[in-house]
Formats: sequence, C-alpha cells, structure tokens
Amino acid sequence: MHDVDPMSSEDATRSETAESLHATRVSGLYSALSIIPGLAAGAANSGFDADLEASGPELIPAIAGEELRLDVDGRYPQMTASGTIPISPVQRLHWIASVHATGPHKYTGGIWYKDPAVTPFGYTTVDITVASTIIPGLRKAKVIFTGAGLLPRIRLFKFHSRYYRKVEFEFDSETPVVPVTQIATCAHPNHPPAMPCETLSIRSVFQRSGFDTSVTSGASVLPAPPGGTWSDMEMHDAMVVYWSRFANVAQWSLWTLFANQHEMGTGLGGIMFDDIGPNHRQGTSLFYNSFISDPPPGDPDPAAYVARNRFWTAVHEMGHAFNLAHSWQKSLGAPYGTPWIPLIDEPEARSFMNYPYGVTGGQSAFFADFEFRFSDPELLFMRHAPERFVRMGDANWFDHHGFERARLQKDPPLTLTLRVNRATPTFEFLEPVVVELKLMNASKTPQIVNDNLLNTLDGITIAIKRQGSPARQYVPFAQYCMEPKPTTLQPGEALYKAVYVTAGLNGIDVAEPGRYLLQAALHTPDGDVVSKPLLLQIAPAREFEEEVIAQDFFSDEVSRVMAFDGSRVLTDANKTLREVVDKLADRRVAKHARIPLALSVAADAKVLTLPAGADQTLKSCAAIGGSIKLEPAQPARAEADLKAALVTNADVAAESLGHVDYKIYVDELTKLLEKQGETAEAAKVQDTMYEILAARNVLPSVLQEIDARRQALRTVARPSRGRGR
Amino acid sequence: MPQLHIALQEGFGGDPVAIFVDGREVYRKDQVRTRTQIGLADSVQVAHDPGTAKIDIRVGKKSASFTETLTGDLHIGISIKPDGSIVRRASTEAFKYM
Repeated sequence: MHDVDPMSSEDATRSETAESLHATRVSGLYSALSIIPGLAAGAANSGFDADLEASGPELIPAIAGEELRLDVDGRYPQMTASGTIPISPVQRLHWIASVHATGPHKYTGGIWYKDPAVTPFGYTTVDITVASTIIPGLRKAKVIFTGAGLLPRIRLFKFHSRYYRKVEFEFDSETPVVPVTQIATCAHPNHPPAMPCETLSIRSVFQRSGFDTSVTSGASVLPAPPGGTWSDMEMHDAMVVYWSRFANVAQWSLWTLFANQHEMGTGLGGIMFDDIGPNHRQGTSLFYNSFISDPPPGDPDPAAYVARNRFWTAVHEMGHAFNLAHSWQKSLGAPYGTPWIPLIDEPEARSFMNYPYGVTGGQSAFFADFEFRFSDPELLFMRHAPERFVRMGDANWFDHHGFERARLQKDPPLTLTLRVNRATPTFEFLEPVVVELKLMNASKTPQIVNDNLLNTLDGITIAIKRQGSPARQYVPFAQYCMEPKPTTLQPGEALYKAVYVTAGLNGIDVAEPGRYLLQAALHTPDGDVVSKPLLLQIAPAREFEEEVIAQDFFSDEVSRVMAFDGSRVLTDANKTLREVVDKLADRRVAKHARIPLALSVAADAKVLTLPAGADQTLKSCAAIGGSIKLEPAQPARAEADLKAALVTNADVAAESLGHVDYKIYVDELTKLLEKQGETAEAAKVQDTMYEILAARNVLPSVLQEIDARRQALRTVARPSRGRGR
Repeated sequence: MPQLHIALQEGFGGDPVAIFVDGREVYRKDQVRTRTQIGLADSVQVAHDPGTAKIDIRVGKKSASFTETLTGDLHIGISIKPDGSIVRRASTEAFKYM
C-alpha cells in the first residue's frame, strides 16, 4: 500500500455503471413531475405505468420543488421515505416516514417527523408505489398521504438520481504530505472475513452513504507554514485562501486539508476546525505527523495499518462536517445542542464516527468488524434530516446535530397568533416592525388565563429568522414582573398585545432588507402552544438618504427610546428621531419617530441631573450633588407631533403602528387634548379613530368602547361650545 | 521528573474549573467548554515527584478528588458524565483526539 493514491475517477465511473444496472432498485431522489394540471391522470395512463394506473385515484403532479427520497434498497437501506414540500418562498416542510414493503415496489408507513413541527400538515401515513423500469429516467413514484379526517393527498414524482443529495470535496495538502484518499480494504490482515476486498475511495464511501459526490480537480499544495504546525485560525485562513470554492454561505461543499501537525502536538490526529465565524463545518484537517501514523507495536502490516488509519481519519473528520457527532456523544444535549431526534449513544458502533481504540477490545476488535461505513442512525441523518442540519455552512457545529422541537400540546384550548395589520406583510425600509400577538380561547369551554401574560411575555418565546441567517430569540428591552391576574376567556375571546420586534436586548433583530420568519410559542405545563409562522419582508431603501440615517437610527439608544416611547435624557437618540421626522416626513418611520418625541414631553417628567464634572467613581448621586428635577411638559409640541403621526393619514398610522398601539396612542392624544380643555377636538380625534378602525374591521367591543368615549367627550364639550368658546 | 498530564475532556459546558495537585492550584479558568468535535476542553501539565499525587478538581459547585500513583509520566482524563458526576481515567499513554 502506497501513500500516493490519488482517487481514480475511472474506478468511480465503473462502480456507478455497475450499480445502475440494478434494474429493480428504486431508491433515490425523486422530484416533482412536471405535468400540466388536469392532464396528470392521462400521463399516468401511458403504458408502462401499470402499477400506478391500477392504484386508482387521479394523480396530481407534485408542487414544483417538492421532493421525495426513497431509501428501501441498494446500499444500507434505511427503510425510510422523506420529502420536502415548499410551503412559502423561504420555507419547506420536511417529513420523514418509516416504511415497509407491502408488495413489489410498494411501501407504506407512518410519518414520524415533521419540520417545522407546527405546520398544519395533518397527514400521518404515506403509501408509495414505484413504477420500476430499467430506464431510470422513466421511473415514477406515486405517493398517497393520508390522515384522519383529511382527503388523501396524492402526488406524482419522477426519478431524479440514485443519490439523495449532492456534495463536492476538495482535497488540498501541505508539502510534503501525500493524501491517502483510497485504500485496499483487505490490505491489512485484520478485517471482517466476509467483507469484499476492493479499492475504496473517500468518494465511494460518501457515494454509498447516499451522496452524489464529486472531487474538485484543482487541488492545491500549500507550502509548509513557518513553525511547522497549524492553529485552528491558520487553517481557517488557509481555507479562505486556498479553497477554490470558499464562500461564506451554506453549500454542499467541503474543504479537507492534509497537513503535517497541529499546534496541539501529535495527540491530535485531525479536526473539523471550522467552528469559527458565521458558517461552520466547511473545513476539516488531518495531521499525518500524529498518532494516526503510529502503528501498534508488533502489527503484522504497519504500512497497511497507517494507510487505513489515515483514510479512516479523513472520513471521520469529514463526517463531522456533515454534523455527525462522535458515536458516544449522540445523546448529548444542552449546553452543546440537542440531537435532531432523540438518539442513543453508540459506544461500540463500528462506524467512522467512533474511536477505534475506544471500543471494548480496542482497535483490533474494532477493525475486525469494521466495514468502512457509517452507522444506520448516521445514515438516516445524512440522507433524510432537513438539509439545514446537515449541509456545510448551515447549522452551527453540534447545534442541530439536532434542533429543539416544540413539545406540542395536543388539541390545545388556546391558540396563539402572530400577525400584522396589513394586507401584505411588507415593511418600508426603516419602518419599525410591530407585530400583534393574539391569544385566543379556541375551545368550547371558558379558560382561565393570566391577564398579564402578554404584557410580561413571561413563558412566551418569539423566534425571528432572517432568510439565510440563524434564528434569533427576541428578547424585549424590559422584563416586567407582574402579579398573575387570573381572568376568564370565554370561547372565542382573546387577549391582544402589540410587540415591537425591531430591536431588543439581543440587538437589532429585524431591520436589514430581506425576508423574515417569525414564530411565537407559549410554554405551558401541558405543552407548548405554537403560532403559525409569520412571513414578512423588509423592502430595500428607496434613496441614499435613508441608508445614511439608518446608521444612526438602528442604534441601541434609538431602539430603547422607541421601545419605551420616549426619553428626556437620551438626547442623541432624540436628535436622530427629529432628523427622521424632518428628512423622511413622507415615510412611515416618521410617524413612529414622532410618537416618542411627543410622549416624552406630553407631561412633566422627573429627570436625574448631575453636576458637570462630577466624580465618576462609585458614589451615591446625593454625594456628588445629584438631584431629581421636574422638567415641564411641552403640550403644544406633543400635540403637534401626535396629530401629525396619528390624525394625518390616519389609515397609514393604524396600519403601520398596528391596531393595538394605534388605539393606545390616539387615547394618549385624547388625554392630552382633554387636559388642555380641548374636549371637542378630543372627540374629533376619537371620531377619526372610530372610522379608521371600523373600516379595518376591528372587534365590535373595541368600537363600542371608542364610541362611548367620544360620546362622553361630546357631552363635556357641548356646554363649553354653548358658552361661546 | 515525571509529568502529570491532566486533560479536561467530555462534558464541560462552560463552568469555571480549578485544579489542585497536592493542595497547590495548578489550573484555574472561568469558562471551560468541551470542543465536542475532539472531545477535549483544555489540559495542563505538572511536574511531580514519583509517588502519590492528590488531584482535586472543582467544576462550578461540584468537586471531586482522585489519588494517583506516579512511577513515570501519567495522563489523567477528567470528564463530567451526563448525570453530573466527575469521572477520571488514567493512562501511561498519551490520549488521542480526532
């Protein structure tokens, strides 16, 4: 066995040709069949599809982009079917079912996994029939989804590839290391007696794992670095420079460096070093000047042992890049991450992901049974888990070798809704995003809930995910501790709360142009109540001026002033808000900016003042001459801003601020006007609100409240008019 | 003089860790976290006379003590199991990671 074993593409081609001759094999990737709706049944009656035809109901082509992965024969079949269904411009539903054969090329089984778990996809069973033919391009599959109380969902797919996914590798090396990328499986005498003796390449290992694998032709040879060892940072930098495919994006592409030695010394044989930066798991390294090149004393074929060890380690590290954990870490949860599905450790597994010297009997026991493969749970993950968990550069390392699935409550009496009060959920650039949370009693019996639940957001998680970025949890600037206030929600009744999600303690969450998915979950002892995802979009800036102001507007200080509806002391933020009002008066953001500017001066306010040049060391305010002063209100200024925000183009205000906040702010303006004795004006403001909200179909109970208020104001206002005001 | 190699391996989730050998502090860090892809968080090496070494480790509010006998270099791997217990394994050979 030689070190110099560049992978032979000829061998790969031979093996593909041989496998494609398995005419009866039906496993692989199927894609939506492009048939004109209405002609589907006719297409199915085209002669060779007798199996499909006999199955009865009308065939419907799958949605463009819908996929099926059928894994029932060939190498290491997992008896699994999985699929993806586009459910929005940025999201796909992913389902997985365990299946068993019910006849020739017929399979059935239960769907046991859905992602997102809360998608209203009630189907629980799949029945799959494949029309097999020796010509793979003519192979078709029909999938019937069934579920209690649902009409069957029938979809037709065409065979696309015998592989489930596609991946590309690049093998670069440091001089003078010569990469081992293929070996003779029986070169070492200690191997499973029944294992076929063959030349096996890294590419073949991943092909057998279900990947359409290619290796880039432009492998680089790196000069040996000064000092002779590599740090993780140096390897990351080398990846950026030398990898022909490097990009800070998620892609089915992986860089492997065959190097001399890591700075940790000879005790580190290899590492998936790329847990740095925004896109993890794109790079791995092997270190030939390490223990992996040390045969055990007395080994019958040291050269074969070393070659196998180097080959094994390369695939092991590459397995990490597919987000595979070590065999003994499968069940590991927080704080490292969570398994994608509940997994059990496999400490004795004869897998690429186990340490050979860690099993009972040590490395000789391991290799006596090792068949150069991943374990079944690992293959299930690589072939069938949602793409974002597996693909390089997607989920962070070990984060979502699973994701935490909601502990869904079965038939919850309450429903949670996230919504925006506009027909199209598109926001102008800079426009603050206010969403409405609605908690409704969806049961037929009264439900007791905490009336302060939505005010405190206690027990509620809101997740925000920008397309192409990891999900973030929204954390409001203020956490309120309120005494629980039990209240009864009658069937159909609901609690409402407006939530300003643009920014929070996590920073700016929703600001950059692009698409976002928001989802909320209420955690209760009986399980989680999860909202449907809310998809919204932030439009790009219309002019350069907006981008310039954005640099000041999307700051922590301005966000706090917006969240708390004003500040007397954060003067830089107030200046920015006034600049927004002056320069972007026709934009929706100007309405939002006027609210805190107005409310901060609508009433007298207490402000802590410290003498100039006060000692900055930790002392009490009193000790350095501080005092609390009452700053007077500026009602005229407040009124002008609130009217411009709420009365001018009132419909835009209601839409942009959201119905809940719009009413709160109009009531504030009403109070201000009343306080100044302008009750008739106050009644007119309520009139405007009534008309706007009535036209926007808000609840009758809200309209009744407004109506009562305006009538009361008119009663007060009439005498004053009568006195000739 | 023999070397005592102490490796903090599996199960460290970001807690502060302090290690004492024969009562002398040889290691202290605020946040120690296992790099799961190699099963190693950190390590420390201490010269020690042949004979008995008492190793005390504190991980957050948990602690454990081990007594080892050195005749030559000794490698001690310390891990925290999922149930929270602190365990150790000793080897005269260096640990291997990948």
